[in-house]
Amino acid sequence: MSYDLKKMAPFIHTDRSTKYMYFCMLIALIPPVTFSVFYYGIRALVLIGFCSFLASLCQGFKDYSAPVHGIVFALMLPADASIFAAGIGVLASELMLKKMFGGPGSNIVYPAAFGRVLVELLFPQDMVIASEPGQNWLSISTLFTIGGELKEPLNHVQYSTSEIIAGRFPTFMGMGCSILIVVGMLFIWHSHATKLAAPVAYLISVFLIKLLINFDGTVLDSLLFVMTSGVVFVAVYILTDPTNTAQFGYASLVEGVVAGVSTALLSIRVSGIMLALIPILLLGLMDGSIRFYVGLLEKKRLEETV
Amino acid sequence: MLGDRRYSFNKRLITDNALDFSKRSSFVREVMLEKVYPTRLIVPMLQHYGVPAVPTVDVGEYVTIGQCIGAPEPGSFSVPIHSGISGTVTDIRDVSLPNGVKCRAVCIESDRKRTYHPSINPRSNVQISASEFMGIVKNAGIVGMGGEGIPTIAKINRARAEGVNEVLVNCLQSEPYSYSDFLRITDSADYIVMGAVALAGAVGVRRIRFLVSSTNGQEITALQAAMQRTAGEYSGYSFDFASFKSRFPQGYYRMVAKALYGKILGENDTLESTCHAVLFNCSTVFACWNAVADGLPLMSRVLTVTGEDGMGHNVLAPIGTPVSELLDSVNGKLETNNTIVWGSCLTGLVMNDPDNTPIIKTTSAVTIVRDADVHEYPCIHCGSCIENCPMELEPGIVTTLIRQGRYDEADQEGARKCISCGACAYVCPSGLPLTSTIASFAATKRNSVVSAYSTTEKIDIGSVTLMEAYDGYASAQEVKEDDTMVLPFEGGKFI
Repeated sequence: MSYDLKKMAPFIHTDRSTKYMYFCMLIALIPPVTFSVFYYGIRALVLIGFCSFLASLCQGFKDYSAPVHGIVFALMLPADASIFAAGIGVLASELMLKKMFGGPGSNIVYPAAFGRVLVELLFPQDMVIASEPGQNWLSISTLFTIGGELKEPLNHVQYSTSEIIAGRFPTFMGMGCSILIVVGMLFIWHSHATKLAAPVAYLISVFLIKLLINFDGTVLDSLLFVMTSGVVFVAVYILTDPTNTAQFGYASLVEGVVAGVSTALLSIRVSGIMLALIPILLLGLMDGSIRFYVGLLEKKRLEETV
Repeated sequence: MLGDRRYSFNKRLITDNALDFSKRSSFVREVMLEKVYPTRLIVPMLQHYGVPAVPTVDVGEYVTIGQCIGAPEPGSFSVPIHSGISGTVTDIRDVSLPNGVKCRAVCIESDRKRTYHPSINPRSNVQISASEFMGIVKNAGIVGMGGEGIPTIAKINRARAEGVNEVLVNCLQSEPYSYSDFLRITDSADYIVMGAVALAGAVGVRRIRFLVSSTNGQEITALQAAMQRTAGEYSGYSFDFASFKSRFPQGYYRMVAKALYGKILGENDTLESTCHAVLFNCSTVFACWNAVADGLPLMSRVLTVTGEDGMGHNVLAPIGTPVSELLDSVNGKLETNNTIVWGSCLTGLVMNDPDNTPIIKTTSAVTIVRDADVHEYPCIHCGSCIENCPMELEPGIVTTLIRQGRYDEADQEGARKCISCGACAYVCPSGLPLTSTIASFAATKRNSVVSAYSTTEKIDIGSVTLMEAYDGYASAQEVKEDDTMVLPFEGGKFI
């Protein structure tokens, strides 16, 4: 017996297609993109445009996932990164990670996170935060400068709380504007593009564990850590990707908590982009197992309940 | 009567309910009930679980409304078939229905006179015994109208044999754009209440529960008002409502068992044996009382005609009405790029020949859908299909296994449990044909036809099989209560 699958029910489908989901993510990325161009100028615009174009060239525009990954990758770069390093990162994430493993939906970790960690290891000089927001707005020379001396990175310690809230402190291009990132998150929530259980669990875990670790610290210290370490960006734009993070049930909560606790614990020893991304890469590797075992427990619980 | 508790078959942690279609169907529920008078009928002899009836009329013979045109062969698991129009039998030929059924069909040309059969008269005294009631139900050819098509008499007998505690009336039509049950309840609540009492009396229980969706307040209001109006007509029966969260496919009997009784029915379990309850669709209940009070056999039904071009009609059509006539009567524009679906847009079947495809006793909707290509993207492993599968399967994984030809593993993953409800494919953001892949695999394994809720052969399951029940399990048991009045209608008032 053979059937024409196209002629079989259901004849309606949800509006929330893959294309819709990634299109919503693109819209949700507008606030941090605007922020980075506003503060870092033309070089930020070139980097974002270049990364999204290159990613799309590798994967195509079929479902908008490639430009989303390209933009997320670009926003995690420092404003002074070179186009060469950015290109290597995008190619590595799109070709090595996605294509080699079977294309969209088959990547074992989040592509942009993988690419970003790779360029951090390959081009440490290029990945240093060397500019303050608002500096060298029209300059594009750094785009074509590869390597050079390893500079001392700027950090946010000498900046006031209000400046940190406004995102006016030296960090990676799109990772400092926590308020605007939350606006993006609200859009994702409103559009039902993906679910926010994992990101919320992640942020709460980071905040609480950080509070526990710093016995003498205040709530504000933990809050500032959340705002300056890039975890808000990671939560909203990386942990909402359904391919590498569970989006429903208890698995999403478990994954959020695991990533959050790892990040907070890692902050004792590690700083910079690695602090936010290493737990995410590890989570991507563990995602299948977590979904499987939590699913099994959930099934068992359901059987006991019913 | 309506408690705070909201039942749901879904026990998972769910952040939003993608399968609540109660809001998107609102345009249909406002529409009045329209009557369809077709010029011809094609009445299949097999519209139910079981074997076909045998035509009892000849070509050229004049038939009237309500006349029996097909009767079961003695000892067979079948029901009588009746004509919904008066006119002349023009042909008796083979037909193929979209669900794969091939059987004889009686074709009748209408004389446009609407002449009723002399036997059809309103019953002046509805004070009847259980055996009389069951005789009426059997002769009226009533089958489960929610889609399963099990002869109601078999269900009543099985419920008696299993000793059930309560009768459940299923008012949980949760498919998108289907509002035939809603209209039936709001339009004829009195008949449904009285029918439920009659069925409870026949089954031998006193407790009746109406299963309603928490979003359909109008249904509850209508039923409560009907209970008050009819309160003097019976005594000793208790009514109750069970409110359910609106979620497709909540009305399916396995989901009812899970939500209401917390029991998962195995392949060979029945609601009667496991939960000690018997479930009747509200349209079936209506048909039972229609047969008792008005003497009308099951020869017409309410169905929703819906789909593209802003169509939204609830119609009362004689069974056997060709779909093309149905669409003509509601001014449905049939464009070449549209597909006509026999059933709802989630579980229905494509029909290719609307001129020769009739509606049958179990057809609750005819839907026209735009023939749009659904773009298929690679699976992004979002897990939506797992989250929404009512049978707790992992449709994405099962589909992958089937596509890779790993059939044994797909079987182990429970592919054959698939009830073809369409939920997984509906929610899949990648537009993968999950339901059709799994359902066609399961159907091939079962060597049966793909249709909604086709999980097992329902005739041979349970400690008392439907066949045994139909054959007169009750009479074999010499049911003592037959002599007692099960419908204690004071004065035998006719509604």
